[in-house]
Amino acid sequence: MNKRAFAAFALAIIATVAWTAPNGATVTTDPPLASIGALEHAGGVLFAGDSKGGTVYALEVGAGSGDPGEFTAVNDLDVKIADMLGTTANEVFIKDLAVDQASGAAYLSIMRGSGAGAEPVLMKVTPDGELHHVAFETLAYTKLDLADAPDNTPDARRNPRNATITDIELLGDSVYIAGLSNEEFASVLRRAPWPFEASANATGLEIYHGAHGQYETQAPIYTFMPVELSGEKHVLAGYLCTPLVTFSVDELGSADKLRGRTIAELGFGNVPIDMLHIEQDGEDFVLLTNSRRGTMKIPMSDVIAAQGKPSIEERVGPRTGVDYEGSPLGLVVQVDNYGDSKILILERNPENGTLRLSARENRWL
Amino acid sequence: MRIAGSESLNTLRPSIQRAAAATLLALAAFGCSAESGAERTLRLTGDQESGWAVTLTGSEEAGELQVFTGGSIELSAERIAVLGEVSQGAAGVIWTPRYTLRPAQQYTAVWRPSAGEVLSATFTIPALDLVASTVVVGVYPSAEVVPENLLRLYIQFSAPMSRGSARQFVELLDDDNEPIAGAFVVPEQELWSSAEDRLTLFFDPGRLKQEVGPNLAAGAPLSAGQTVTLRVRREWPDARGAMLRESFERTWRVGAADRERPRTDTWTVHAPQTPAGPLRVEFPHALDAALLQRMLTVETRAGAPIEGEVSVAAGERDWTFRPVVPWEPGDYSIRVEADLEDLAGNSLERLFDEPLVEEQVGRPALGAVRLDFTVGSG
Repeated sequence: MNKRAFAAFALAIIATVAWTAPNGATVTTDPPLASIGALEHAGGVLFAGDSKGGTVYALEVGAGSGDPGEFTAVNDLDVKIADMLGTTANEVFIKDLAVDQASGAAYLSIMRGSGAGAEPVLMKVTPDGELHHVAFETLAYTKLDLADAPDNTPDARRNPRNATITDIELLGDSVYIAGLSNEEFASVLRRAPWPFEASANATGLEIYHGAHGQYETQAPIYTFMPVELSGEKHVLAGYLCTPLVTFSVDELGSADKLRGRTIAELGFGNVPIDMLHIEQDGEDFVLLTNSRRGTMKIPMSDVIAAQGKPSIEERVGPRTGVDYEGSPLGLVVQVDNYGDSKILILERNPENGTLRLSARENRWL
Repeated sequence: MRIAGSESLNTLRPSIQRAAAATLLALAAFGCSAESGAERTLRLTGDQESGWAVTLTGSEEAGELQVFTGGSIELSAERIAVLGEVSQGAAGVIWTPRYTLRPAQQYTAVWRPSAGEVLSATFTIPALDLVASTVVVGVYPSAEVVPENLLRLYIQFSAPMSRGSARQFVELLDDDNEPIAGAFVVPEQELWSSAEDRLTLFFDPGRLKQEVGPNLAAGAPLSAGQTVTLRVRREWPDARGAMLRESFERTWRVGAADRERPRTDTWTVHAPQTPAGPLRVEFPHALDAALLQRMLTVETRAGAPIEGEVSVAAGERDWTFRPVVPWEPGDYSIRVEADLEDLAGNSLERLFDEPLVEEQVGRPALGAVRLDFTVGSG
């Protein structure tokens, strides 16, 4: 109700909102998100996963230009957001963080509340430390409907499973979406051409991974990132509990099934949360944050070297394959790159439990 | 492309400055409600149903009307105003929040005219009268014995639940009533049905998969011969914020691991005996309760879908289909999706952890399996 009053106000500001995009399609505003979670910012577009609505929205938020400058740290971010939303910090759930690498603006997907009245909220923290509310009704968007995605088998009926979107990445002219189903355990990574067309649909890719020696399995991919291995585009994927697997994007081609290469196992009882590529003293690393096993730093050279070896085959302990070192980060909630030499970290202050958003030089990671 | 005005409607810094100024004045003039003889009041208007608002009456002038989260004494220079919009209504100047104000939460409204005294008032939004009525209505698998490599459990509630706190309110206990640590993997998002009334709990897949590191290091979460109990605590808030009417416990015996794919040639199909009669299928081993609801469908031999109601019973070993419209005599098929899984995640197509055979990836998908039956004319 209040939202509607606000929509009218916002629409008045931007006057008439229907215009025609270069490709002839009518641009629509006010995306009807039922929830908001995974974010990815690329080229002025913020991809936002709506798990409840089974949809990925491409929100036209715009992009800045140049390089992000210094980032003014924000203390008690959750308390400030709560004040602005008229609620308490324990009712503010920050789901993801995505930085516009040109302007340095940090987008935060937030759920306000957790029950029947839970509402999706989008906020932006600019490098000067200012917190901005981004009203959905002002945003032009296109969308990708996941609920209507075909099942793994081409002739299968529509699949009403409820998939939680855990990660979204734009790789070239395709958007890849990782998700967890609340019923099937199978790993389906979805892919759709970008830009989304009027009736965009995602196709499912089954990525198997070898377990030690004699078994291969499927599991949900939780987080992933593009990596270049031997000059070829690959995806490095973190699975639930917790193998790290690589597979070739080119090899995917038109195939819908592929066996990835298991390059490491990082221990049980853990969910990998986020993966970043960082550069430190001229060397490339993968920074991996986890639900229970802290933040790991893996040399990219080891990921590359693992390509020349067979998948993990020996029966060994919980920590196997490509090795990692711990990164001296605290209670990390979310991370993203901030330009080439820093990352932006949302972390919990161990003193008072509130959230702090700040930039950290890569060389201290 | 960029849209002019797509930016924020509120920014932090101006709000802080305004809040700081307003606070000082509000503290000085708290309780003051009159200026130059005109009776000016700040009132909480509206209701839970249509939404709450703050209305300023007795003033033609809009001034600056802001609302802060919390009571007035909590107001400080650090405070940020609640997102909202001010408009002129018939009753006075109205502040409407961007997001619904929370029951039982305190808010402080501050009105600052262009000249004169500041007016402020603290309101508490009425608490909801919540009755603890939500209960656990079922847990699946419903059979008494589950395989050692059980992949998932479903907890069905009678009403939508809140998200994000499952880990605090559900646990699995061993024979000695001790919690089994790390049995489940609960991703931060939690896996709920679209109606938000059924939670899926996955056992740690790394510990279930044979011979992977976690399995070797920590073993499978369950072991044959054991008795395990799922406990759901009463304090778990439902979607309204009320706790459950009662706590819930359910016990299973753990049997041998299931490492076989379900095979449709072991199923028994009972064709309908009368035009309105049910179609039944019996399975020798239990299948996944949720997937049975949608991975078996009925169609004519020509492939036209038949609508009907599905029920699953006997520990997920019995599937019954009742058609909406009585059967016409003729030939039909039950279409079974190859992704249908048993309790251990083995599907018609593949085992949860399949022996590694090079040809397997890239082999053609099994697709759906059709089980034919005929409805007679008599």
